[in-house]
Amino acid sequence: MSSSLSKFLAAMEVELKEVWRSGELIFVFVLLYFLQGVFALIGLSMPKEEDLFLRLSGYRDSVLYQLAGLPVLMVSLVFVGSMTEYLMLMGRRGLVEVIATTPTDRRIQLAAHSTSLTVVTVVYYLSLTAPSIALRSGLQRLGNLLPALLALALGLLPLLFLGFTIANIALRFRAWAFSELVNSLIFTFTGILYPLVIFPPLVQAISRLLPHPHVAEAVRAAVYYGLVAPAQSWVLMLMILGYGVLASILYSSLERGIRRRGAYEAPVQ
Amino acid sequence: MKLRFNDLEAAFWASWKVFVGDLAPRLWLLSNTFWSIGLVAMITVHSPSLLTDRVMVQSVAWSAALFMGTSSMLWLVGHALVDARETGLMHVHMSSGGSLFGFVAGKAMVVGLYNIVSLTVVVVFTTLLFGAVPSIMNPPLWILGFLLLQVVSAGISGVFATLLIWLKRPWVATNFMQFLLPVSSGMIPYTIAPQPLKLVMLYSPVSYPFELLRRGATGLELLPVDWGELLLVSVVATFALVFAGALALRWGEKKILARGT
Repeated sequence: MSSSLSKFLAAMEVELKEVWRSGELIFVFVLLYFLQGVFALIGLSMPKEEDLFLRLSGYRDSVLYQLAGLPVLMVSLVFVGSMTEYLMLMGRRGLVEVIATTPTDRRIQLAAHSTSLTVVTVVYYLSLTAPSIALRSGLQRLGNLLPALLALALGLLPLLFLGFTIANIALRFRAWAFSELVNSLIFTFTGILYPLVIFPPLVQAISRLLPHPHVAEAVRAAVYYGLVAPAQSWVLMLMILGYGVLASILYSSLERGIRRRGAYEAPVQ
Repeated sequence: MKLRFNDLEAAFWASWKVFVGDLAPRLWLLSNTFWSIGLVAMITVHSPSLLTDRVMVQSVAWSAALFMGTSSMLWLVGHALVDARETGLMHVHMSSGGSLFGFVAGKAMVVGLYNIVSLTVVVVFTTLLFGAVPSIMNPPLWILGFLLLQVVSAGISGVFATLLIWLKRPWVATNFMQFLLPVSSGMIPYTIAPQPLKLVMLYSPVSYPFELLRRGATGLELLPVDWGELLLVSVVATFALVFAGALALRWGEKKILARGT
């Protein structure tokens, strides 16, 4: 156990140093801030029908609704894209076989990669989203950002597992475009930026099997009311368990395939 | 080094074969449709009754198409030189006497054709999903607007492609540009845009062909210009940007040959 922990910490140190040294973090943050600005600009420009929006969503301010859900969307899109890129890059560099032949469980490697992404996400939330929400809703909601961060932290796990699951599937399809397809589905059908009720009941039911609507709702409720409802926590726990098991099964099957064939055919983009 | 028709033809067919043989463009057709549905919902949800307005749904669907069209032009054509350099294709192309303009223009033609077909499908599906019936009010102007929009985006992407090869992180610039270009060119309708953005829209060369396309499709007159001015500025802007793209690529070509890398 302590050996696994030390391997995890070592891998984590490498991951964080790689993120820091690449110098891309600042660009990513500037880009995310810019995107938030674009979303806010569109929202603020549009004419508002607050009562109708309240009936549809349960919230009055449609701009704040989108701003509160935006980090969940961004994080999820980054997780799917980044996990797929990470696995494909490992494949191209020939690292999949190397790691498969060493005694180090690759799940430790992936856990370290995921944790470094999580750390970056929390920093992103605190430095970018929190000020935007405070700016939109006034200082009285500043205290609500702590429970919102807690909800987001809890929600990160199923989002990460989903990202890993998609990455595994994209690897089987050998197509980077598959992750783009999934990201477009996440953007559109998970009710992060608008209430799901605008879609037919079947789409709503399928969407609720994904972690996004639940994570977004938990974060949004925390931003508005400063609490994470116990029922929502249970749903999030269930999502963590479900998607964790799914990701693990898919990964094990991929690893078994590599061991059986003795080689992994590197995918091309 | 002069542009020969053979260069353009070869680049067109090479890009065409890669494009047709690849799984990605077929998947993009699906993902573009989903992005479009999402963008329409994201924009209109602030004023949900807009979703019951047939013309408005179509208009916003074309806004989403503007975003996806310029985005694919920037990523596929704007990154053509960066990708060619990474795969070693640039070296082969230059050493065989090929021109960069031909190389980029061939790819732009394929992407432009793909955009025209795929974005029409995307807008039709998006409009139908929101319960409206897709229609084209003025087909000749719609087609002209669509063609000019592709050519003007290709011209911008040509300039952009030349700039990107000198950047360490081209993806950052493209990410900014893919939002700046449509937002400054009518993605947010002129009539509701904030005053500073309205001013930017009037000076954006992409606004005019896009207005032509959207006006041809929906009949809505959003940019405060008459038909004559709209046509004139669209055509002039298109020629100017293609010329700028060709000049930029020629400059890039000379610079690359002088450096040898």
